[in-house]
Amino acid sequence: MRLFPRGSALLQALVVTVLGAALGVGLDLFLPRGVLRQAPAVMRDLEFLLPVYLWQPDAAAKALADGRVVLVDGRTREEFEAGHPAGARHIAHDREEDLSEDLVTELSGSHVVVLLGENDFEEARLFARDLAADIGTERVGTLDGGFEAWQRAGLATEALP
Amino acid sequence: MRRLLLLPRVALALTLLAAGALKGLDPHGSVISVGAYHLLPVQLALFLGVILPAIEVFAGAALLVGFLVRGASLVAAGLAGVFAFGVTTAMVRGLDLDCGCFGSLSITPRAGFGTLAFDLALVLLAFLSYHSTGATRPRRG
Repeated sequence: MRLFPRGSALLQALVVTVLGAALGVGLDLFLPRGVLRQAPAVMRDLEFLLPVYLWQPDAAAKALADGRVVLVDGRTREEFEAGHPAGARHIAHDREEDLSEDLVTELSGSHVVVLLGENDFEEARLFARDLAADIGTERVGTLDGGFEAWQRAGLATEALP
Repeated sequence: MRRLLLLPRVALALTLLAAGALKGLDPHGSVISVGAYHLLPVQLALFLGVILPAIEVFAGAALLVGFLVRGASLVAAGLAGVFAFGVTTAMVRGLDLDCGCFGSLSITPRAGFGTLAFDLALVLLAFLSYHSTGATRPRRG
């Protein structure tokens, strides 16, 4: 049994790659939903695609205590009132109204870490990017495991009366 | 026994076909998935987002019908290796992203150890698939 491929296998791999790539480009140009024909718009999307960082609850709690991040709880008002990480702000992720100017000014440029429910990976990421665009920051993150992970880590919580 | 040796190849082929087809159905999403790793210039991310699904489909189809099996196995191993590298760098940088392995129908919702294990399993399947061709070929004389 040879561990490394023979020359002919490498040539085959090259053929598969080139034919596959040609098929991809051809299909993309042929299909109405192809991206190559709208390349400038897609590249703009890529340029504005902010990296979202994943924060573990302990690290987020420490950064919050040091004033290095703003923790935003994006769950519903009822869930927030029932219990949330101590020091977290509430901005519902499914809000319909724009953020107030005061809030935008206050949060502008901050490093924002958002949290939602435990399994809301996609929503949290989208919320983080939307919030970043709304308040004008390029530093955003999500809390790994949401509020449930925060509670499991035994970190401070508070509820509203 | 010979049929047993075909199992890794068929499993790899079906995985590549599913991954490539699901990504190919959403070309914009495929490009964004590549870009979300923040490893490549946007032009290259765009190009890779277009050709990667097609290479997966082509390699998967080749493995399934037994055409250029060794080459397609090498391509599969290379793709899985590249994906594993991307996931590892994302984890090291602390990025929160969807692995993008199966388009919007991700098996693992977040690039992490599960995705890495999946990619390494694909490398193993590709290795077995590569060496299955010699074992199933009739010996001369």
